[in-house]
Amino acid sequence: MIPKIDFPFHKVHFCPPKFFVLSLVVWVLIFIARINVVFADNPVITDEAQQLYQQYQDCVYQIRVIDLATGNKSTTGSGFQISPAGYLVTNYHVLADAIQHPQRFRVEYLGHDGATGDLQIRDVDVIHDLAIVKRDGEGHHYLSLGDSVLMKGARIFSFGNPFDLGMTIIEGIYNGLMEKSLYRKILFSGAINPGMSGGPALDHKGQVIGINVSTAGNQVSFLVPVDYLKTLYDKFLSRPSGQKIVWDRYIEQQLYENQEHYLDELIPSSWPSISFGEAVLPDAISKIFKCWGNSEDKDNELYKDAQLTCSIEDDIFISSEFSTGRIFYQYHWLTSKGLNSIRFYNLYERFFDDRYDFENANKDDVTNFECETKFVNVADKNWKVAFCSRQYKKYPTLYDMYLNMAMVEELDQGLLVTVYAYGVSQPKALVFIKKFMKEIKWQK
Amino acid sequence: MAKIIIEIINHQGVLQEYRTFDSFPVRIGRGYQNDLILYDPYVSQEHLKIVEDHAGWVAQDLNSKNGLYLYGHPKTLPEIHLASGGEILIGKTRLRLLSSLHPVPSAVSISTNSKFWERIDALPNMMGLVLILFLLVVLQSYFDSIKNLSLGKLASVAVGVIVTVVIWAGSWAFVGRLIKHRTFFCAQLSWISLYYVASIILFEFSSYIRFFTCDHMIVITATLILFGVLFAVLLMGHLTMATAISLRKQMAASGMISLVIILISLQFHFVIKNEFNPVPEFYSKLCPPFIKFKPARSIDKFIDDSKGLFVALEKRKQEEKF
Repeated sequence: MIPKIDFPFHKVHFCPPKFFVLSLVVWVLIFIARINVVFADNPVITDEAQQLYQQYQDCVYQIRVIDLATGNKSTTGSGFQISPAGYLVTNYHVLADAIQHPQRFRVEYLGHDGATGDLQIRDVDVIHDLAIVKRDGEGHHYLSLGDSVLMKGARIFSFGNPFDLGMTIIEGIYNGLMEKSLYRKILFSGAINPGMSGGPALDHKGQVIGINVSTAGNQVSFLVPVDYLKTLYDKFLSRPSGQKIVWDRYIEQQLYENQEHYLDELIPSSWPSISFGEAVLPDAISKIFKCWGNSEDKDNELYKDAQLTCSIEDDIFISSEFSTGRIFYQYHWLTSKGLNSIRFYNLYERFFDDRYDFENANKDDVTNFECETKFVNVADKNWKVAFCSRQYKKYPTLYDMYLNMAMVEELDQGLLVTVYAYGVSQPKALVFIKKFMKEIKWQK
Repeated sequence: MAKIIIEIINHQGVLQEYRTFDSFPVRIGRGYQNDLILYDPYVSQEHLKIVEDHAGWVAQDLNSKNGLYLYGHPKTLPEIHLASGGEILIGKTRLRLLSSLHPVPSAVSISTNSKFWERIDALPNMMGLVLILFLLVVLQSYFDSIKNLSLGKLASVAVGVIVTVVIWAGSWAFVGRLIKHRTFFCAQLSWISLYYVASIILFEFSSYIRFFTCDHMIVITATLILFGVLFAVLLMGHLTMATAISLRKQMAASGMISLVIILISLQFHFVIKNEFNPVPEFYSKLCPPFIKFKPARSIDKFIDDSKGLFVALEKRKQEEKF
């Protein structure tokens, strides 16, 4: 999972003095190390960045989510103004707490000149992690929205307030749209850090091409293409003003439509297959899946285990403890290397009973799992199939699903097929799982 | 021959002594002039006297402070007519009046009179049973292992089991020593070993039933009931050897203990049932398919049937709301 880059103050604990001294020493060491890096790399500070910063610093804000109980900030991110009417853009995940628990949090901005004021949340896109907020007052400077398709290698500039240290501008390279991704993010080679979420990335003309969203570390960062923002903003403007949005229903609708949309594309397409043991199983069923293989055949083990895992790597962030949207499936081909069938089936049972912990949600978000176990005829073989599901409490049309199947036909061979689907609707997921089971075939 | 025997039972229900008297009246009280002197501060100096009448005896209150009761009745009485076996209460002391011809139950045998217990008490049989248990546990850990373990490692599990059963049998032998003045250690050890062997065989042979039964709840309920009954039988055997209580009392005691264990596990189940659990729990027993069969259920049928899952989820949500 790619870590989000909002800065969770509530997770920073105050240390006793002993640790304070220790951490001070560590900070000093890090500081020295950084100076070394600066001297070693000697980055070229172009005038371009300086000019862009001077020109647009008053369009960029720090966005703060304030905990009402303590009056202090619990999360910070960045944002930028996109219209003279006072509309600002940031990431959904920066505001997630305030949307999920409006009675506990409020949102405010901090301008480059130190001015602060309240913000009202007007619209969100949880799928692409965008939010539109409104500030009081008009006529301030704003950024114009550009085009997210640039030449690969183009220099782009990202604004943001990392670790609440102050507004910064960083320079990096545009590296195109991610191919193997459900939600097509821009790959940005530059160091986006916690707190910069929601800040704008500009081209040399000063137009917004994307919005900072996440980082995988080591200069591998991601931007939301500005096209999704344009779509969201157009939809927002076309909606009659004064219409009150019920966030739970609104987010549920977005999640529901998103899964319908990608499953509708996934289900009818023809799936490539792969020979796996003696079976023929679905390979990466579309280009958004990444597959990783692994096999173990140690001399001291009495069995061979070949496994393949295919996964969508995009999570949809709903709150700090609740994410969804992922689908993955896993195969194990187990063969005995000297275990008799009773011992082999004990081993097989351990693989089948792999108690997978669904850590994507907690008890406020989902019910417990209900499971059914049955014998099913798949590819003219006998399988024991466990099918489990749990419902989302706030979004009751959506479920997490878990299909775990073990072939019980051979005495010294086993095939496990496990499918995990997060945040899917009942009818679509059942069609998907049916197709998945029907794609399991045997080599002639 | 004594005309009356008085059984003195203290306030805790413990029999203290028997006293016999040849002549009437029998005077009872705390004072030293009485025929029967009682050590009970709630008894008056001259509490009552017992005289003979045509049908048995009459207990007459001698104006005592706390009065005279027929045992088990709430009101004081000035006079009580009693036959052999009748009981009265004075102060906190209970007196049972018996004639010398009052019948007593036949003696309980110190050695249990069944052939079965004698057989398992024999040392060679005990050794045989313990050896069978040892081998069975070794075999079980061999089949459970997925690596080739040395015989020493396999045996170490079995040694642990043997030590446990020896300690268990030892504590029952101790109980027997206290109550019956005989330990029956060999029989106790044979009995627990037999129980262990039976459980292992039952567990292993039921694995196919558990494999074909896909329902978690059915399996757990059946296991609880089966092992509850088995455990009750185990306790009854131990009680037969260590104590002299009747079969009915044995059944009641061991049945109760089993039931309490089952109830505690059920209560635990219901307490944690609605706790949040991020792990999907399903019954995952797999067995080698020595007998092959083709399930009739097709993929389409399976998907159609799985709609029941969502009905169950809806029900669960309603339950959690309450």
